Amino acid sequence: MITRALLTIAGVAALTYATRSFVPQGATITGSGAALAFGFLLIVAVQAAHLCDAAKIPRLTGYILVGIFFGPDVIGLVSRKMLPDLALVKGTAVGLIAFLAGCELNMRRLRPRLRAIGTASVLTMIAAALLLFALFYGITHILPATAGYTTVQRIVVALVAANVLAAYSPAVVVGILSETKAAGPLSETTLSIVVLADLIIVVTYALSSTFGHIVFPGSGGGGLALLVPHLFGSIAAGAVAGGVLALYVSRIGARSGIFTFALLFIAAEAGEALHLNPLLIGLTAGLLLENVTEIGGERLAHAASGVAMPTFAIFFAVVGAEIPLGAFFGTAPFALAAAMIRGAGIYAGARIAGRVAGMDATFTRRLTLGLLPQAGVAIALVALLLADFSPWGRVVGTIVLGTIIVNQLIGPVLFRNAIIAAGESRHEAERRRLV
Amino acid sequence: MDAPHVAGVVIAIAVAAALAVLGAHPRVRRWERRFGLTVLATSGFPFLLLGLLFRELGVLTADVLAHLRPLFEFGLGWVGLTIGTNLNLRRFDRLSPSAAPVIALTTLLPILFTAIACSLTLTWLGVVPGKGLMRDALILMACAAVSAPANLELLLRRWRSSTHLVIEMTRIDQLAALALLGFVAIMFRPDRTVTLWHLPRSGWFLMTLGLGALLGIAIFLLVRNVVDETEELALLLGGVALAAGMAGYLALAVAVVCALAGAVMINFPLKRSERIVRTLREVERPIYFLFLFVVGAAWRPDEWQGWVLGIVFAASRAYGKIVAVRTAARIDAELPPWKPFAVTLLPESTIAIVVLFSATAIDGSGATPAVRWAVNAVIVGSMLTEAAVQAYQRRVRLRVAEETGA
Repeated sequence: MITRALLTIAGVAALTYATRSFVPQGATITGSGAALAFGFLLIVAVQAAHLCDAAKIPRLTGYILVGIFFGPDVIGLVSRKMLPDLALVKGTAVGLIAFLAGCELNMRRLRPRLRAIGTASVLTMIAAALLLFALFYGITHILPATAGYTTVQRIVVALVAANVLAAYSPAVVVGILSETKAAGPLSETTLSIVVLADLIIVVTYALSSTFGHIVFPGSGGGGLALLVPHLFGSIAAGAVAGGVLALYVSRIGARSGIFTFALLFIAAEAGEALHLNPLLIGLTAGLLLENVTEIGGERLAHAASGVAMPTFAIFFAVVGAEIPLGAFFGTAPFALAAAMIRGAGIYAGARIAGRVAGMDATFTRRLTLGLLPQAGVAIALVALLLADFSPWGRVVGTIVLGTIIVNQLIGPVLFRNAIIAAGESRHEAERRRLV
Repeated sequence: MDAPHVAGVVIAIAVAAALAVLGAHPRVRRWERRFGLTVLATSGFPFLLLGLLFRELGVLTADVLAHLRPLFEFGLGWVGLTIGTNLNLRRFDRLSPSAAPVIALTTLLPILFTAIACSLTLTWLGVVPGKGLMRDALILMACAAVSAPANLELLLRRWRSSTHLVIEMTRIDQLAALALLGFVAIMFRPDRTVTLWHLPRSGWFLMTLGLGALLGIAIFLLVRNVVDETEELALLLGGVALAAGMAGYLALAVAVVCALAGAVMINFPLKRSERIVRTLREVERPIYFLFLFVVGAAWRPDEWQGWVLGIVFAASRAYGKIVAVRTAARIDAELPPWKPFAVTLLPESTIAIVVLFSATAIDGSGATPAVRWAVNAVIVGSMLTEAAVQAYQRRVRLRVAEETGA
């Protein structure tokens, strides 16, 4: 299997390289370039999954590594010019991932654990944000771009950076849960926390960036003024999407997986034009179906599961290809320090939450590992940070991005191990039974 | 984005969602089957109107279309691969020897008649040689070739043995249309100065064949030993995207290269070929809706030239089919009478939409008047043909009812 996977990767890479020689280096053909990159990354990511299975590392990490390796900064088969065209796929993927997460969250089932989920969400975020705030406040004294700032300005810089890094990753958690076919208390609790926490992060980022715009007048962005339509508009759009899906399933039913995918695609495309968040749209639609309608999210999640694997593969491969390796290596020490501090903060917060909500120590430790990964939301917030706050946004944003990269690479491995250790991975159980 | 534009986007999305639901509704599908209607005539037509509406609302702008181009390329690849899987050589071997001249006549004569009539009309409308006449005539010829196997009801009633022949005829039609589309892509290459490969046209012809065959082998090798259905779908998606991307990158006809790939793949010993074809067909219909939607945006029903061309297109195509069928009856005496036989072959296949779509959206020439008229010609022509076929069918149904006293 390994030899076949490696030969396939080599063959597809050779075909792509030969095709790209049609136009001069650095040039691309709009549309075809993206289709080529999509096909190439998807085939290679599927082969990488086999290699990851053999190496016992998460497939998701393999997808990210594929993106990094064949992306613009290493081999360059997927060029920087191709990446913006792949945003089409990314938006839909984020929507689908959030939709699947929403479909998994049954409030009635979660009710006994709601107190633990709420406590853990708030405390882990606060603890991580406090420690990160302290770190970034210290870093502002070292960075040339922020060395001359006043205390208030430094506080704002640290606040915004800490806020972004307090985000979790529903995408990675859903990806790992789907890959390991996991079900159980740890899976459900982790998924609930990352979803709830990311909703909180979207709101707090709007507040902290508004504060930032007051302290740094003249910087771009919309802050709180954009929050209300963004947040509530997305939730309303998600509710409508959920309603349409419920209607479709109850009246038609056929091809519901394709219909779900198409609807999320429209939502992602329209969301871009209307400044709505595909994650919130997908999540609301999923939550609505699972908790309000009689259909239940599981039915649609099952129908859409066929496209879930290719979606995860292409989403994380594109995320990997977008990683700016040059910028990462320039800020690696700060990024590593921030990743460790964040991990420590989450662990401390989880321990306190465990004591308050009566969770046992092993469960708390495993829960911490599920909160380490970062991807979609955090990257989206970094993009805002880079765009909104000039000149410090670029410098601090690069460090924040570096931290996300560290968490992106290490987080999935640790979470997968936690899920297997908790005995919630059906995939692992099947594998052991076969062995 | 200003408030009216936002409202336009929201309304348009709501209409699109409602239409998609209606289009997939089992009752609509039942109507299509019962009355022998084509996708274009029933659930497809609202998508054409929707494209028109989106353009009027300012939603479907050139920027939006450019943004969606990767999806269009992928869609063309998917449809191409699906058409290619129809070309299972083992099935053609089962046809009788007399079928070959019959198929050749019914495919080539409508193309020839349409080419002559539409070229003359286009010249009369001011499209002269060297200014797109050849290209537009070829596009219309490709659209004229394809027939939809939608009206088999008439044949099934008394000449059940001919249905297999009709189905294979419509498949060969598709091949002829794609061959013409491939010819257009080879003859009308993009600016040579921006690319690094400089080949003669014969070189691009061989390139199209070679790439299609190579990608067919590649997709076959990818999906050959996959047991997991999810992985199969992922590799199929990846294979189609890679094939479409490669063909598009080299400015070859995406649908043609992918159809060749599909034909090569399906003629290899593939264990789960039925499942793969089923997966391909599942997604094919929504892709047609998407293409109809984009073609609708290029549709200008207010241009009289398009209506003139449409009437000429429909009449010449129908005449070509009728002459072909009557001539074929002299070759093979066992064929059904020419009237029901011609009516069965008249409705326009959705492949015409693929051809039109390639002409309007992918190469960006949707704005030229002649292409817009061609779009109108095929849409109007399809509707006229469909109306005539349905009227004939209704008459036959009434006559049968009278004869049987039902």
